[in-house]
Amino acid sequence: MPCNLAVSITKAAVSEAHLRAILTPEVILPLIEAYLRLPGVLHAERVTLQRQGDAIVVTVGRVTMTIREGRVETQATRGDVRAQELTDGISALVAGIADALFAQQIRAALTPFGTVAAEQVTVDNDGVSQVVTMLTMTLM
Amino acid sequence: MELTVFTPQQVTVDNDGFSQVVTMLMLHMEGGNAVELKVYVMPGGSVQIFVDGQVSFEQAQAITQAVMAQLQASGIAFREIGTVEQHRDGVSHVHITGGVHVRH
Repeated sequence: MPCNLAVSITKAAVSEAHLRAILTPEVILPLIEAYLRLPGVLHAERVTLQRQGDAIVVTVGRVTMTIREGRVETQATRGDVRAQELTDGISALVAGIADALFAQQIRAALTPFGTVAAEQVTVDNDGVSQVVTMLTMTLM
Repeated sequence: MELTVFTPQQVTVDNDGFSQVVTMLMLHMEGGNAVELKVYVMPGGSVQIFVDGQVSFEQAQAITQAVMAQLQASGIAFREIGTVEQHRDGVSHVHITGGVHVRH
């Protein structure tokens, strides 16, 4: 945004609990399945994926990951590089899902005001480069 | 130019094919020009709301408060809401990389 033209700026944030509540097993299970099907994610390992109550349990080879409310707990041998790689990948995926769903929630909440356009933009946020969702609307 | 914020109403809307009951909050600017609202949704659950256009800071403040009320009424529980700041030197906020940005 050409911020030199902005009249006012306001910042707000939701709690981590709000973001975690968005990450229900129903929402993330199909996305984890899709992620595991991406080329290069699996190394010919045996995979099982099951829902256990409010958690999803993913087993890839000898690595077991339990995903509950956006947190990933991994059971593997200490120092297992593959386990770390899988945990990092699933954790980044889950965080990305939370961000995308939160943006969707904000967009849906603004629809009573009119049409909301959404786009992904890269911003400089206090020196940190971040990809964010920018929602724009014109109030006539 | 006068800004009127109407009492919120519960209405049923079609949201991407889903029927939803939402709180509708209408803003009307008597004799006003278009006002642009930009909401940046950042990673980790934070937002930055910009109001731009031919409006006074007081009007931008009223619009922002109406937007925040709408977001909260829809079930978005903010843990912190900053004050509406007038855009000037020293106010830290996001800048689009590669976008138009005149130093200030």
